[in-house]
Amino acid sequence: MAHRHLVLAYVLTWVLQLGYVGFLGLKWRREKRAGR
Amino acid sequence: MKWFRWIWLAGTLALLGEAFYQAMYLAPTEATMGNIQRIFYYHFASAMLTFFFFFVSFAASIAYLALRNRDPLRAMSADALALAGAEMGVVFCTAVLIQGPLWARPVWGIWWTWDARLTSTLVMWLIYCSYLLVRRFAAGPQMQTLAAVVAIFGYADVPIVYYSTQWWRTQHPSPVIATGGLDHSMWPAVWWNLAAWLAWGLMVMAFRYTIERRRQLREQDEALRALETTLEATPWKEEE
Repeated sequence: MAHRHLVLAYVLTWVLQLGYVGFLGLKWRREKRAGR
Repeated sequence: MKWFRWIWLAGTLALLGEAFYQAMYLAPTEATMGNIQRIFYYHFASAMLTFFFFFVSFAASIAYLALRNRDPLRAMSADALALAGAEMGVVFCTAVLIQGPLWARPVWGIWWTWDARLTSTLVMWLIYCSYLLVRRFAAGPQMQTLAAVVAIFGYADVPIVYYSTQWWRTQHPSPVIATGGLDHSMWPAVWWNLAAWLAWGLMVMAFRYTIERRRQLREQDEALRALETTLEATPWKEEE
């Protein structure tokens, strides 16, 4: 169980960080379109 | 400046790779907890960076309140930085609240307990979530001022979170970093992870800041254009 939790904690950390970057990417694209 | 961004990205990815290698392979296995203790290296880094990014938001909010009447343009930059810092802090705080229970379950036998450290961290997360909700849903020119006040008062919870394990008896262990309770062979993994996640956090925060500044400038342009159109459409009467 400990090993599974270690891997899960690391994976979820990256899912969260990359999810936020993805959200910012969409925001950036929307802003770029609105600026045109 | 474009080359600088690519160098920063490459450096950050290299740091993150080395930090992962240090935490998972080079750091020794802890005697009582075993491999699960390796969560510590990014749990600690995430917690420290939560404090750091909330501090950025706190300082930028003070700057916004100080400058909003004297220098509105610089105040808007400070406001964008306060938002970027708060969002980045919430992301790291969410990571802490996910990693913590995943570490606690095999070690303590429970996912969560309402001790001072865990509860004050959850309260801190809720405060900054409400900051983001204020920014999202409050309308009118006072929104930024209201948000800045929330960020400043919300920061009062940070020292409570930090000192909670010393002020109260908690399930969460007391600090091992400040008291020198960490074995020397574990230090490189701590520093590499701290540096790597800091570089990552600064990069993402800069991206968020750029988006917010772009939005502010677009809104300013739109407001000016609307004013021009109104002025052009207004029939002026010559004074006799």
